Amino acid sequence: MGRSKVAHHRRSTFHTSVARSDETVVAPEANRLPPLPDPSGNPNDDIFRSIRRSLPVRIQYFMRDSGFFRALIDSSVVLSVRPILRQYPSSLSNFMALRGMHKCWRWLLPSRFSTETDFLSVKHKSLAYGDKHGRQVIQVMHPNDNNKQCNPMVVFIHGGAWGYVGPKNDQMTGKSPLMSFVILTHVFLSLTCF
Amino acid sequence: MYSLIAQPFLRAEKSVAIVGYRTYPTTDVDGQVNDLERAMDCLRREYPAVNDITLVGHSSGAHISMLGLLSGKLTVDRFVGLSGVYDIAAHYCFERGRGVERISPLAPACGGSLETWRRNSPTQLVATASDSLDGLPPMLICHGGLDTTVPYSSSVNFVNAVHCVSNSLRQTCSLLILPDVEHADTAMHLMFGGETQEAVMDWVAQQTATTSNA
Repeated sequence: MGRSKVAHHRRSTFHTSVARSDETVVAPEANRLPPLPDPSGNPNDDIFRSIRRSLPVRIQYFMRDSGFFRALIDSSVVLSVRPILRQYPSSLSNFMALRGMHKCWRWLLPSRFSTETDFLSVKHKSLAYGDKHGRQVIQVMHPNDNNKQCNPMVVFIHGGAWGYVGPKNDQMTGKSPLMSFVILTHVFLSLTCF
Repeated sequence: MYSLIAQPFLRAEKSVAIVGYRTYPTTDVDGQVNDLERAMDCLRREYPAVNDITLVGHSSGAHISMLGLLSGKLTVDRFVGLSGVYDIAAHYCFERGRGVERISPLAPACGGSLETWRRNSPTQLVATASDSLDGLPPMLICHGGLDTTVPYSSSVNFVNAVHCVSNSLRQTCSLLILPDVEHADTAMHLMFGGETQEAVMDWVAQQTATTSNA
């Protein structure tokens, strides 16, 4: 039997202590970590287990491999806008400022969402790379107009199970004035119809 | 949505790049890593004055970032992995328990066989590495203790494998388990504040100061 591996969390020092071992045993009681999740015990996943039981395997694979699930999940991202805005009202004006849309569209916002943002001086640029595929796009934001003076850069790589979501959802709002209008009108209506 | 992740870094006077890349079924993991390589080349061409790059990856983004670092396709000054998947076979077993393994892109995107899964598993690659992996940048591997999408054992096992390679990597690769944090929280905290944001910003500032002093 191998020795147990213990991951410590000490906020100030980020100390870690993971012992050499041939097997994976995490000792949660040593640092108040919860037990590892039982993958088959989460009721939130019952719907997935139900789909697996009830749909033919080839249909499940078709939905995955045809991009159907990707389109479904990508387009459902807009549904997350409302709960986020209810919890973080300033996120909308911040988002618009980060994408350089604040001056154009702020008049659409209800007053309680058009609070001043810290990011009015942010300079935004969209870069296409590679084969210029719709998803091969980089959203770059500089803290001020004088971007040549800003040498450190943080590069963020989103998740999404290798197949879902991405900055393309954001890109829609930045590229087309018509799409910006449609999405912001949707947001406005959902906010005012609580 | 992802643009909001830029907020804490912009306040710290850092430029931020949110990288989009092709996803399954358009391409597999190899194509995704190649996209990251091309995106970094594009950024370096566009902003030659940038001399300090922090790479932050979340979930599968942390996975392909780590594959890029291990293959030498990506070179950065430091890496932050949030709620990452680092062992494909182990994660497939977890997804099977959840009932999502047939609709999840994981299996085909990572090659569809045990051999390709092993080749695309950073934990396995590190454990069987023939060199000392000294080219890896300083790393913060961060995971939520309440994560039910990717269990925190993923990060624990990866860091364990890295620490077994050499003593120098014990100094530069840190593990942080946040007990009360869920899978999406690590990204949401960067957007709206929370303990992940505090931890990441502190670590990046600490690492930046170390680099400057050296």
